[in-house]
Amino acid sequence: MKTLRRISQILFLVFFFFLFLSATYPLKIKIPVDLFLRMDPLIGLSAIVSSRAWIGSFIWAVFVLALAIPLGRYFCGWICPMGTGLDVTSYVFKNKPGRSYRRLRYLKYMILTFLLVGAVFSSQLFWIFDPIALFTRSVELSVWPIITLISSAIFGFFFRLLSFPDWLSSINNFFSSTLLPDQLNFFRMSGWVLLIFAAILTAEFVSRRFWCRYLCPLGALFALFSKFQIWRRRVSSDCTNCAVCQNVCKMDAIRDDFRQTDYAECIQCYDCVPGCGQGVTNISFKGRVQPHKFDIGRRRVASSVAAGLVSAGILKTNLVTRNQTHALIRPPGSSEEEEFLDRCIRCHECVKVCSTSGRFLQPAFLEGGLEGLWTPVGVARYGYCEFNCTMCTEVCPTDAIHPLDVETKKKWVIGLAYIDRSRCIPWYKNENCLVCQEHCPTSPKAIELKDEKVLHFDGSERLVKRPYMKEDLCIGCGICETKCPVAGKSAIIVTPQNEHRWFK
Amino acid sequence: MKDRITRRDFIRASFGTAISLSLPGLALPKLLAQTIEEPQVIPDLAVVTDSEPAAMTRKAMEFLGGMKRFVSKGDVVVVKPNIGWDRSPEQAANTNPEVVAEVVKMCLEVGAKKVRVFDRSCNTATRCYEHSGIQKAASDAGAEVSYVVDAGFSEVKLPEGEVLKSWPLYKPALEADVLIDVPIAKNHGATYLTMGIKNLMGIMGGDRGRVHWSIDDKLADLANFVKPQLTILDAYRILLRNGPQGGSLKDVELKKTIVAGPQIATVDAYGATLFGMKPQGLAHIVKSSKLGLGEIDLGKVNVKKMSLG
Repeated sequence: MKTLRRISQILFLVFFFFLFLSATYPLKIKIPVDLFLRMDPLIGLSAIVSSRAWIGSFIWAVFVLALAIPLGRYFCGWICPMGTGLDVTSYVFKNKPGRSYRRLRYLKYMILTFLLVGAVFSSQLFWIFDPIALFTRSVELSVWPIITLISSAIFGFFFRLLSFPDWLSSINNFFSSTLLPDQLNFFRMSGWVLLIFAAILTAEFVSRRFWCRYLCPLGALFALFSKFQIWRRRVSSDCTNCAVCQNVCKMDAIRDDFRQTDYAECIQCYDCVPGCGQGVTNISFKGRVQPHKFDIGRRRVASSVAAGLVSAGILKTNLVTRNQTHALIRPPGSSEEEEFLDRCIRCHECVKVCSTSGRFLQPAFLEGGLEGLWTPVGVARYGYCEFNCTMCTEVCPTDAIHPLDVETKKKWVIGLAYIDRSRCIPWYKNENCLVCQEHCPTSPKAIELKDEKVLHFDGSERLVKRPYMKEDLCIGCGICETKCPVAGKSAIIVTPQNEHRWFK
Repeated sequence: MKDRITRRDFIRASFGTAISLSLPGLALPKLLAQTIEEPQVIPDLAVVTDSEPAAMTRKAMEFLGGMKRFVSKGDVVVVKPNIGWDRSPEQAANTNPEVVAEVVKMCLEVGAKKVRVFDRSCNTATRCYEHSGIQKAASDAGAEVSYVVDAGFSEVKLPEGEVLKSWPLYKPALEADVLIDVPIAKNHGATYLTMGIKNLMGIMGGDRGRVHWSIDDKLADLANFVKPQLTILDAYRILLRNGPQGGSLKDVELKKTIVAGPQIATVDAYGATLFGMKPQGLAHIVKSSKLGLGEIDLGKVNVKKMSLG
């Protein structure tokens, strides 16, 4: 069974990465690339509680959660890509189960309570702690750019070395149109995301599965269901107290008498079964189900409820100036801002697909207030919203971004560009430029050129093509800002003026 | 004694034959006279109209003396279409895929070692290559279609450049034995029209936006440096407004025309007339002509025209 568990872990991890890599242009895959996120009951709970609406795509999560009734925390041991990631880390570094901090176990329940209370008051913080969202985000924002950097360096090196052989072009073509992006990916915030991810991995050196034992709210949710767990570790009376099982248990779930198990901690990994010196441990479906004692403690519950309330208070009453809320350009099809913040779990699937098309979306820092941290925003100086592309709207697990068809999307206004005449070359320098007009994808173009006779500062008269905005045609895609050849800040800038949002 | 008939011999001989035949030929049906006169003089410009893209392209090349005049056995050929935009062929923002495929085929027929097709796109390359139809059409025809990679650009000095003195250019394009420029005829905000000369921007790296400042002179310098051996202008569909990427089919006119010639400025000059414009009014064409890239006074150009309709 242990081997089987390992195979399951590896397969699910491979499947996770397969889906991750499939979130790329042309996105023709039939399986939803956000399947892992949709399977996650915590994300489902988060989205459903904070948006107060049933979201159909979470039917998978219900199933996953229901399985916890007989199987306890099977998800943590067999499926969770974060858990597998931690196991791999420990395997590589040959970590021992490490220290035990049993008192910290309550932390994960407190975090869960805290998140749920917050969600009821519409301050959605699940995104910080949900392991699937966290893992997806970490891979996307901090690991993925490194991979693209390495792959492009390797390709670049061999292209130059072998002077552009066609067979290498074919390989490059294949990867560019399937797994790898056709350009480098850079993201803001990747350092911070990496820091958190690295901290969770490093905690493996303190105790194995530190994250899962003490912090993970998804683990806590499964643990709550473990009360009636019927597939359980059992020890026969022949136990000789050799303590081997306790020494191999990475979850520190075996009590000091070696016979009893904390089922809320056990992740069904089966390490203790072959590890058992006497062969008296087994995990089976046998006998009467005895609900085990389980108490978080009234005070802990009370304090996390209080913390949840305070967090909601801080986030919701946090002074967000008009300057901030009005500075964000959201992906097309985004729900109205409140709803968007309730739903978005910062998995960055949208950012991933976008990075293979227009490279528009980036995680926000504080420009949308505290609540908007790491939500996807369009950064038009870096990339633009590809006119015929709807991929970001197709991969959102919580429908924070509503699916759009291409024709609707082409008319979906996410902002409005304005020309900064003090920086725009035809305006301040009286010289032709027109790159913005060339790239404007709408038909007719939202940027119109007018031939104007102007008096140059040296007294001469010049004929200049000057760009004008046609507000009713601009959809705010930002390609003008991306391609503007003025150094530094663009001379044409997109703001969320006129933006359209999805309403339920 | 020469044991081979050179082109000159052939022209001389056929010229003689034509003269001797033209006397009784006055009475003969016109058709016959035409078939005899045809091989006499290779025109500066071939213009074929009113048929399908591939057939017109082939005919135009026939008029120019066949692809063998430009491509020798064992040559590495780069065919440079416009794959700039995430648009379908009907929207006339990219070169017609059938034209590209036919050019590729003709190159391979006369023994080209390989034919490479690429363009540095403005929209996401993967999207443009696919939706333009060029990726499939050209590779089916036997070309090596590749995305432009950053590693391919290196700073190149343009010794004769008057305004553009140095720029990162795409090495695989410069290293080709033969470069065939296969643009589409489109409206463009900055240069009024974009055709052969403007299409060469697809081998430029760096921040191409900056090329747009005094673009006419820079494009002429670039064309003078690159000097494609052949330019085949796709005017099957032309984009009249909202160029260079259009979007609306209302802006597209079905012109069913292919213009081909060895002189890039001449091809572009003729292309301008398709839009009812005078080439003399298009600064980048005028400048290129001044640099010796072709006559743009179409009165002085030997144009061979034919309708296949």
